[in-house]
Amino acid sequence: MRCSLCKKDKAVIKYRHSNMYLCADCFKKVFEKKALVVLKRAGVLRGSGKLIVVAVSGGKDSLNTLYVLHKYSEIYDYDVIALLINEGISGYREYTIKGMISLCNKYKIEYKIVSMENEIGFTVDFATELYKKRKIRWKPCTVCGVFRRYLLNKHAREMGADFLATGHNLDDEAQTILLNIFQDSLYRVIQADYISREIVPKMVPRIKPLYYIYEKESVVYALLNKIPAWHIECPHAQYGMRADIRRFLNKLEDLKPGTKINLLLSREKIIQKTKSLKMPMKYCEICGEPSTHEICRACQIRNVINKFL
Amino acid sequence: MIRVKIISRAKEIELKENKIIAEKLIRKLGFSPDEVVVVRNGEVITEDDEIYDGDFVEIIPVASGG
Repeated sequence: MRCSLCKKDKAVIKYRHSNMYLCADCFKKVFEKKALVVLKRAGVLRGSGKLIVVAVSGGKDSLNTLYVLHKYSEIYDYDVIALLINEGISGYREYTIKGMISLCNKYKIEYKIVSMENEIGFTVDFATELYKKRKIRWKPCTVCGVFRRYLLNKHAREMGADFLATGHNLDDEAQTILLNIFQDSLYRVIQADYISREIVPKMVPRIKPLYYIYEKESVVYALLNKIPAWHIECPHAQYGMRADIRRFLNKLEDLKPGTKINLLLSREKIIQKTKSLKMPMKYCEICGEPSTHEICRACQIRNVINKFL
Repeated sequence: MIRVKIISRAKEIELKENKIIAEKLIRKLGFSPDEVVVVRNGEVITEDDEIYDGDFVEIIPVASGG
């Protein structure tokens, strides 16, 4: 198949919902342009000298985000630093850390690694063992997500970040919309699309440069650019509901290509109609970090797990 | 013979076919085209491309990470 844009080179990807084919060069341009649209809409390129801290796990999405943001930082006036939270997931995180260090060394990108064990007192592996023994009710993905967000925001803020960029792609977002609807969390559906919609003191605004990029595009981009990403899944992913929703959405997308993007477009329309709805933000009575509860989820979980240390 | 390495299953199989469309191979392995990327002899291909006798194919899972 030939590229639908340049009509010259061999295609590397097919967009089933639009029946479009792209060659490697055209695909890379389209991919980067989609990320640039988010940066422009989110106001990242307004003014100069901004600092973007990129939340990196070492997987393809966060490394692609880091790579693209670094590439644009050579054209636009902002700085990029990578931030990795090591949650202590053995047989997984040690490999993905290598990927981040390798990319950062190659492109001379500054990075910081924060150990969850040092900061919080336990690892996700430890919390998983407690969950398997039914000593705690929180699944590994919940514990990981809560503390990753907590530490990313805290450290990005201390680093002086104007924005915290994450590697969430279109598939992640479509899954999250359904997950939140299934959990009756409408606020979470509308509080953020490609940028967090509310300005909250102590909360670094989050941007998602890969918001309009399918997970499949992310894999192809990483392969074409020789991004040192490990194409492996977290060993604890099986415990989360996300894996079921991913399978369900993939099945729907196969039957009706365009399903996932339509979910995102619907959310954007809902956000426009519900601008007045605000998430009731408070500050945790224990640690002082922003939260929707009197005591934040991180402190709630920490108080229980600390009893087993 | 077509050699196929399925990364997510850490498994390698051999197909006694002279020619197969990538999408047919993907579905034969139990995936949909949105769930995997096909790399033929080191080059990324689309699901509409053909795979021939003697080719080495890697099936890369789209889902990875946490």
